[in-house]
Amino acid sequence: MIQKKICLLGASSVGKTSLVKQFVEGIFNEKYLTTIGVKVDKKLVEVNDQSVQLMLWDIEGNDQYNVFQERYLRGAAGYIIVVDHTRSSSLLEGIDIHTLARQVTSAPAILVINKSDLPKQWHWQDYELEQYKDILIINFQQVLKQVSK
Amino acid sequence: MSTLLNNLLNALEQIVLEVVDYKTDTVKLVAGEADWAKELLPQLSSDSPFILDDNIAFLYDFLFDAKQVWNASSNGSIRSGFWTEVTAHHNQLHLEAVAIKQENENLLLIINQSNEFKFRQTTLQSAREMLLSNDRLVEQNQYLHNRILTILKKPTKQNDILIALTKAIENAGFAVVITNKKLKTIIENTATKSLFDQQYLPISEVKKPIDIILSLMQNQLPEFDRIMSTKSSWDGELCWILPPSTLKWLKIAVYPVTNEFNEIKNWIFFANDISNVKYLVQRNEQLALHDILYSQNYPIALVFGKRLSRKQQKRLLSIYFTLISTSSEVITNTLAMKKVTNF
Repeated sequence: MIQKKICLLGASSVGKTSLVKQFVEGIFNEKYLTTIGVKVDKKLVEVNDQSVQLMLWDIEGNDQYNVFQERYLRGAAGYIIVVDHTRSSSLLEGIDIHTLARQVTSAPAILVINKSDLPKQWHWQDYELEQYKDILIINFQQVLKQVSK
Repeated sequence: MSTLLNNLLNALEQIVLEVVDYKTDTVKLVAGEADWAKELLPQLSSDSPFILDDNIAFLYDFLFDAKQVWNASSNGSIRSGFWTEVTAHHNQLHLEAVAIKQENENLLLIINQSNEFKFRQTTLQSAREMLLSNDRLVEQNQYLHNRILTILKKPTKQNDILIALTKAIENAGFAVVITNKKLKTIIENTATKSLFDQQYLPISEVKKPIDIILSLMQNQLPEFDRIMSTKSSWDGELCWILPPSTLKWLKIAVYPVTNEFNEIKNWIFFANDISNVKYLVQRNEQLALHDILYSQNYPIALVFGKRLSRKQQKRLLSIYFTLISTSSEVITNTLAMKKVTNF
């Protein structure tokens, strides 16, 4: 069976653990409990009639208490930068993390804007977001549209 | 391995694996025999060497770093950092691995870090909740500040400006007061009234929110006159005490609004109750103190204690005791004090 390592990266408190829990166990808990270190979850998915085991590395968020550790990206088939729809600073932090990650891997990366169901406190204009659209594999605007659906 | 050492490792919740062949990831248990370890590595039940496979993905990945230590010519060690592993029995283990090379022996230590994990999680939980709260406040402040400036600088009729301002500030989660150039309130939102609630005072003693803010700034902010005279913006924390029961930490922001001749048109004041954030900071400080005095014998505390004369120590302890006597943690802190006296 094919195994693929996928890392979840992002600032602290953006909801990386909640995304993994929702995806793997189908459970959502509103209570915020900070992640310490790393937790690896497994999920079997079917891709083109082939079973693929995803190894989801839920990595402690980066902030002044925890710096980005590139070694966790070793062997990753891809990584997901998670940002918080209610905190524009998490986008800047996500972009910084992506820049650091790019120094050690060229694996595909996607941006996920989490908490889009919460009241919008993201006051950035579209033209301000434009400058970041080319740095990720998937077009930023496409992701925005997909998330808003 | 002696029973004594085995008991010690069990008490420390550690197991020691000898690396038989690092090229094939083959290891063998040499000490420690806890249940959690057998749950993590069922192969430990037999005394034979076994291969660490990718079933424990984090540990398997760490072997890459570990091999650099084991392959080196000199002694050394590397820690994996914390990771959480869910066992076949659905128990969550909070672990850390240490790869060691010592006198040509290659060892792999696996430590059950449950207690340290809980402690770190409690501390960081508070710290990150505080960061979140601060981030939200800063973002809301910036956004509302820009909106108000846009409205105030638009060439519109006075009446229309007031309607636009009311709409802009009414739903803000913090107090907003806009004054004229003489610091007289033009408009304030509902949050201002609730933040500066003085319902227990006789009406004759009730002060306007802007007067409270200005009074706090005058009394607690030495640069208040300079800020006003140089038409500068400022933000910081002030403490509002209104006996018998009000003690609020307020995050205040002040922004000038000037016309094209750089003359003051208005002042914008934001006030937010950050007492809860202050509480979290204090809680974190207590946790740090707890760590220093109880578990780590942190060198700074030791050096500080050693540098004080016996008389100075007694005076310091007497001040310390007076301070902690007022808190609800007298008993635990008294224990901490006893430790300090042992310097």
